[in-house]
Amino acid sequence: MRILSGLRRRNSGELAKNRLRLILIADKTDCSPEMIEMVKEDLAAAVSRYMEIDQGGIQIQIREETALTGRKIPALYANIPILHMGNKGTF
Amino acid sequence: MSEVIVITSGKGGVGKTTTSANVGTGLAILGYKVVLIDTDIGLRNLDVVMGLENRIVYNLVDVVEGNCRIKQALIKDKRYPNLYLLPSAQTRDKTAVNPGQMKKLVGELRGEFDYILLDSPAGIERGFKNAVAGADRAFVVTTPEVSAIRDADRIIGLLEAEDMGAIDLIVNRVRMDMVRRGDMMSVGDVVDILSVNMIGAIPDDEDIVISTNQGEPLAGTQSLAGQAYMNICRRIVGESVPLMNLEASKSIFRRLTGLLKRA
Repeated sequence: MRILSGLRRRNSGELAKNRLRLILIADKTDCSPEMIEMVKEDLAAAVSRYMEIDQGGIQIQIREETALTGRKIPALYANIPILHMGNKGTF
Repeated sequence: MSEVIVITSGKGGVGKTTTSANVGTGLAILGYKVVLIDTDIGLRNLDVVMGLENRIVYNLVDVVEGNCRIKQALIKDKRYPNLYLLPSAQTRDKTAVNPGQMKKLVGELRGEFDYILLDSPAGIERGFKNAVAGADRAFVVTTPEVSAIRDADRIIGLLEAEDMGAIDLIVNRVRMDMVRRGDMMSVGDVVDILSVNMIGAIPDDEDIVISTNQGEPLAGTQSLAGQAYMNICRRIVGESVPLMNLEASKSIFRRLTGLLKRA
């Protein structure tokens, strides 16, 4: 039991950071962390049909962008690390 | 000439008042004329942290309502010739003052002081708006915890919406032992998430508790937190001070006792 709780505790700093990232996006956009997680998974699934990507390294952000009209709009940024270019022979 | 800095955080209990007291004291030690204003009406605390609670006659609300002149309400800290405190009222609430009145008060103090520090209450309501009203720049205090950082992010958003001149982050209560074993976000992580300039990080230091018990801010002392606060003050006045190693002066003995305690 102690070993288990010890394992769970390891790297809680990293866990906090990842939770925070999702919470902040959710706060700013009024959409839930689950939804953002789903967008992330769908993006990963879509992109990996064409190239090999690092699933764990995907970062999603919603930032304020100033549109050409000068109005501030939220914009979705996805940073998807590519491990290998080219198709994986799936299409 | 003079600069008005609001110290705020959103979340309560992250160290706004301690930071205000120590930054104010540090700036006074550097030779600047400083006034600390406690804007937390109804929950007065800065007087206690400064050890000046027995000398209060008039307070912020008295000044705003015209019951006394500003000079009568200012408490001169006898330990530092350039340091003054304008205490808050304990028996009133936030609605006793409005942002316009705060602006006017701060404007009148500008001629007298080099630095005017406003200790903001927790929250994002009236008290926060009062504190922010007359400020040129803001220090957002947070600790490396999810809830505090989330609130800091919200506060930064509100300050940006108010067109605050400059916003700087202070990361308080950093525990390097926990950061090293991966159980606390590092200062870099916090800055990365909030993407705002950091003016200093303060280690979690037992001496802070002792100094608060005594009512003597520790800026200027040799303690780790005292040095970290002094570094912030030097950065405020325009010196370029490298970030300190947050565990530099922890003695081998203390490290060993720390190890033993954990085992």
